[in-house]
Amino acid sequence: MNRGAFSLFHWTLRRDTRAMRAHLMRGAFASIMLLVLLIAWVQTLQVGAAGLNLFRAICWMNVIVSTLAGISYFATCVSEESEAGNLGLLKLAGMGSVPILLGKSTSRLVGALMLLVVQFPFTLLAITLGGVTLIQIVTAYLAIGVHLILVANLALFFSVFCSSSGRAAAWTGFVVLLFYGSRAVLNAAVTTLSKSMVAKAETWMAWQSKYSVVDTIDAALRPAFAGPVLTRHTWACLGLSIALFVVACLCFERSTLRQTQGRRSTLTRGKRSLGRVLGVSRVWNNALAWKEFHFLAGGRSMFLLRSIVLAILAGVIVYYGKWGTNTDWSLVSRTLGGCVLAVLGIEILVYATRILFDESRWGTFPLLLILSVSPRRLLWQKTQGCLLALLPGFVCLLFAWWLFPGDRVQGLRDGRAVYFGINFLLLVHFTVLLSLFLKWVALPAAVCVVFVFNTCCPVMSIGWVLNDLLAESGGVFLLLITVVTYWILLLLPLQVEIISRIEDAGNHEYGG
Amino acid sequence: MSDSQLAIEVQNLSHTFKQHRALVDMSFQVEKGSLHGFVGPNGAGKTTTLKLICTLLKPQSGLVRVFGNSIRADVKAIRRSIGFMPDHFSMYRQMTVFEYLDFFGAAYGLSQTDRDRVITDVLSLTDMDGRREDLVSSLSRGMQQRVSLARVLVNDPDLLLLDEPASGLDPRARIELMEILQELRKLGKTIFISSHILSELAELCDSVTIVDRGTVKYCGSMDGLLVQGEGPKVWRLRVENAPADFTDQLSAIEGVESAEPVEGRPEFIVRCEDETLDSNTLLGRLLSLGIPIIGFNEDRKHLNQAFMDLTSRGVRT
Repeated sequence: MNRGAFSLFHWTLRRDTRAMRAHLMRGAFASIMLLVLLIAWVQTLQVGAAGLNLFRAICWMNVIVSTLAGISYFATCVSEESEAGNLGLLKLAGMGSVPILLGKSTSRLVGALMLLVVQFPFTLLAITLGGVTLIQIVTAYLAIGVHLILVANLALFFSVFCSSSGRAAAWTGFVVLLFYGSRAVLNAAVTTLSKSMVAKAETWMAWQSKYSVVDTIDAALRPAFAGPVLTRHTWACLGLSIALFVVACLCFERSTLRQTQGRRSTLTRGKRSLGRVLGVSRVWNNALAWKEFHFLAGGRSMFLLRSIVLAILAGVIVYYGKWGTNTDWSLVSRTLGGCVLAVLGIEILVYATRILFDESRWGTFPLLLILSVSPRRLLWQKTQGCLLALLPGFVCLLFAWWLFPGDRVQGLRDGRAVYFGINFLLLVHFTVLLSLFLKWVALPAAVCVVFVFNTCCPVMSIGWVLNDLLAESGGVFLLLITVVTYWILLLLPLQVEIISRIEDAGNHEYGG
Repeated sequence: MSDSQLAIEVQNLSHTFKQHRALVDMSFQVEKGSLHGFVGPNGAGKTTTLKLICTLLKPQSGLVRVFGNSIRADVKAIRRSIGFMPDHFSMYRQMTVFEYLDFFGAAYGLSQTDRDRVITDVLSLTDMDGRREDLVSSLSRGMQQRVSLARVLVNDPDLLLLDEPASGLDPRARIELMEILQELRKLGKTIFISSHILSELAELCDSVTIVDRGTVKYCGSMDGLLVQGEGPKVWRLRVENAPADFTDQLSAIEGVESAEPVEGRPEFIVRCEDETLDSNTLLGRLLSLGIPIIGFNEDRKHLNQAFMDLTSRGVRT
């Protein structure tokens, strides 16, 4: 067992060491650290405790990137071997579930932890800048490290159970979102809840805060923090990680055997009446939209599920907000809008990661490119399928907007909303583009790129000026100018680049 | 040959990947309605040529025409008239066979009624009728290859570009695939097939292009490639109960330069000294010897031999 696991670990580590992309990622991470350091140095001229600000920025970026990397990078551990048909070969080589899971996940975990190690010297500079101590740095890094291990094992667990990498990533993301998002939702909705519900919500929030990486880091970065370094969060993460790993090992054989049967679930196979309704429909005239709707966004069954979940969410918020506690419509509308926006945002980012990556992964770009459809049209038709899947979310958002009393256009004139919207679109565009090169790590990489863009791209500064003007005047014309400026200077070049990369997709593979 | 008779015309085609010259001044032609083999060692430039013909690569220099349309100017027209099957399995594995074909049918703009008819036809042709509801991922390699071929036929293209369609298939699946290709040729399709399996190409193809290190080594009919060099013909004779001095008897025939037995077989190789000596005259003279003749045919090179003679040893770096 040891030999097998070590061979697989050694091989994947060697592949990672030879891959230029992995080093570029680490280099990019170090560059971002330098950038943050530069900003902190500028801040020392104006404020005290710049080291703490520097370290706080680094920590939050690490939490976001390690969560996203965990979801995207580790969710493919087993499912990518399953999809490539290599699992059988590994088993034939005499490897059991433990060596395969250990070999595949440990090397990736080491690679991801290397991203944290590469930053450590820079973060020590935060001590020199003042406001943060060594014990705070160690505690925070330990919290991020165990958080990464937990997310990695959660993703590994789903990677064993799901037949595709996308599904594994989606389930991992859902569980992480449920844990961290529930707090935000309850926080926002606490004033709309009845007294008994508030008590339950507060109990949950108190429990959640003990095991949340966000709260652990927050506590570690408070002034005069003196320990302990190993918190309840550390032990919980490690314990849960081991438990998830053991369950994954125990269920590995049975689960991977089931996946190789190659049958769709009976519900969607189209033989039962419910299956006919929820299963895959006949191909529409817009074939690409059909494909994305059914095979990227989950099809009619997921559409129905999404609609039901959002309807229940809207119903609960409206019921407790208005008839339960008699809160004003403004708060109900904002709470519902915030929840729906969060769900929509995550869904859009998942689609952005996979919309081109799936074609690249399956080598189907050449087949699509000879369909005599232009790459621009091809991308648009694929996007239409995704937009259709997002329809329940958009309808729910419109409902929340309709609930808002008073001037409903006011929110759109808010400069911050426009700036946030543009940043989100920028993130989506970068994710789509990077998914052609970086596979599943496209999303965390895109987060880093957008962070750098916001920090040092002059175009974003122009945007800030326009936003300030917008906030002052509130004019629709200025809003239009802001959006068009952002689109021409930022989004359009990215769109052109994505189209150009699709055109070149047939050229990449060098053939004899 | 007039332009209207050509399915593919390649003239002085060159292509470079960074520092690597994949194609060097390549020229060849493929007739309409023919089954043309495209043969070469690994790294010879076969896939690059195929990708250029099916407009997936932008040409750097030279001319490529498909049914008279240039790949520089008439990309849409070319894409409508071709079906391309890549050398790797490019499939949506989560779809069923029917969904996969239906998807491509719709993407080519066929109506639902037409799609139903075409899919039934192509599944019948590829002998996959019984597997239409199976997931693509559950099919064997040979079955997936059939589905790929069915997909290529969905838009009823006039030209099929097949890159290593028989690679990885077992002998039975390979023979069945070749039978399907012969059926397609009878339907008037032009088939351009890149393959390493030379024995099957020799039986199947009317014409062949052999490439090596980005250049064309031979382009012409399969018969022309397989004859034993220039000059008088060489014949292979199979006889029953040949006497011990049969070789001498053969050598003594008028117009025969030499004769030699084939080791381990009741066969003799007969070399003529006269180019004008036709098969009927020679056969008449052989029959006059009074020995029962079982077989008499022109001795041709094996495609393997022709291939080895024309291509260089080793892999291009």
